[in-house]
Amino acid sequence: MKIIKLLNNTTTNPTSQEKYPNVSISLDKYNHDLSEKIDKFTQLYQNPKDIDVGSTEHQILKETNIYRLLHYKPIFKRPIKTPILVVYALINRSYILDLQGDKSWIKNLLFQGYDVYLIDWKPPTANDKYINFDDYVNDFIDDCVNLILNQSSLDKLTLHGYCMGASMSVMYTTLHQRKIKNLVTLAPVIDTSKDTTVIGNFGRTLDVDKIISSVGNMPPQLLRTCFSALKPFKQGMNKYFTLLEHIDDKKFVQNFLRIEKWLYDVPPITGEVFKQWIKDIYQNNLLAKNQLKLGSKVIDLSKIYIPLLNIVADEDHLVSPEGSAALNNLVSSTDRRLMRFPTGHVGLIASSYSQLNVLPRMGKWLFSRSDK
Amino acid sequence: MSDSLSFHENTNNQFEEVLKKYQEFWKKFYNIPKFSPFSLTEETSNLIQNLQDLILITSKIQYFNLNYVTQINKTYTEALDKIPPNKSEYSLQSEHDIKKYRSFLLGTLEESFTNLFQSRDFGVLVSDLMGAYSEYNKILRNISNTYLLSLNLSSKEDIDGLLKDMQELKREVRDLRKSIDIIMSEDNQVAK
Repeated sequence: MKIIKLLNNTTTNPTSQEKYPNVSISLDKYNHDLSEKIDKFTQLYQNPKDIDVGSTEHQILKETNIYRLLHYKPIFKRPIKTPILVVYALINRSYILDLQGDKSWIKNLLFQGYDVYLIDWKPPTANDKYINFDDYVNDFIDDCVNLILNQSSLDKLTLHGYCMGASMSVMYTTLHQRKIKNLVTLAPVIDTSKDTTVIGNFGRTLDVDKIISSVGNMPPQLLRTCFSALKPFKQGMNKYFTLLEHIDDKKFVQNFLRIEKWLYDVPPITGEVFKQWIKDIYQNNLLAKNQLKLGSKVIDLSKIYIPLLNIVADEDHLVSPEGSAALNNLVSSTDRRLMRFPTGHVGLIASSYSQLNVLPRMGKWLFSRSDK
Repeated sequence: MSDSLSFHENTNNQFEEVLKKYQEFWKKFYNIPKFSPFSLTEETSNLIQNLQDLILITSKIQYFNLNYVTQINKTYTEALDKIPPNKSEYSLQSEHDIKKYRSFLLGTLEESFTNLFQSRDFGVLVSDLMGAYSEYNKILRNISNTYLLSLNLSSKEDIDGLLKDMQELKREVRDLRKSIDIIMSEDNQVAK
């Protein structure tokens, strides 16, 4: 009501018009321009398939019903010997790491001379609902690692995970350390007792057994509902005002739409994984307590002794930076490093900031620890 | 969330009283003989039970939804109350004023809603709401299972059992395959 009154005051209130005649005209024009922009805006959201993402050249080394293992074409004839295997999260899709040429995490690593592989998780179907972390870690990730090592005739590679993918990389490293040379994690979910985010709050109170027993896999709609509670106004709403202001800037619009496409491209999560994620990790904090079990094996983070680089975003509103940073105190590695950057969860991997600040420092750290 | 209305916690709620009366009414109806010529078939009894549960859960969903909307509206109103519309700094006389006001408005709303979303009570309410929807789906599934079985088709539970067994078998095969790989690589090393 107050807003309506205010807007009315600016355009139709005669006193106001008499007092500020020029202002009234300019605001009428503003309103007219705004409605034109809104028309353009609705047109933009008609066909998500037209928005190109993940364009860096690659070949598919292996494809199953659960994942695709991608190998990116190296930029240099003789890339750095130790390959990097990127483990993406099970939330949203992996093309955020190769969103567009000038903000591609993958492309940047290629330009730094690395040989890069990526596990691109496919959306699970209703038949996959009993697939759990044991399968993802000890079956799918392990198969990818073995394939890369066999193909390149090497003993070890660098494992590099983002968000939930970083947590899975950590789990994998505790069980298969002899195959890993370096572990590089980006915003891993580790110690959820330090998590102060909205997602953490929902996770701690969710009756996950009840939900999963009914829906099988965690459906995208419910996941989106949870994500929409993250910065709903400053990011959720304000960004559309910014888009309207730049609606005629083709480059800005394309970049914006790529992120939008990714944000709303939410696949389901298998029921068993979601149960473990919420109950074991968010509610009981078993990963940080070294009590998480995958099959018959216990994940003991203190068994990690290889070089670790843990990269954390200080303004992360999805994964608490303190919860991620806890990893460095839980491993036994003597060569361990924590890098903190004043950016957000997505800004850490898909922004000009990450290209200029995060990737060069990460590349430098990794270079001295890779076989040339 | 100041007015916590968690379904399980608020014992003096009128809504619970209504539900109780409703359940008592159905209990009488449900006490009809389970065998003898005066009984209903098992399928019909199950269907009646499921329909009763469906009505019950629909009422709960309505209740949780109402509570959810109330909390959202309350937060929204409280946030708007913090915004001083008549102060000259937000008098909206130019595009710049609008932007400035917008930023202030969104910032205030963000703060209030984030406080709400971070509260434990709201988390419990979201969980109750999602749980009630899940329960609703489950009852619908139970009803359809009755018909599937009468058509000699597998129920959801039957298929779930098969899927679970298949996944466990896959794991066993995987472990066997990995054990064989280890033995073979050890043999190769010995041969070298």
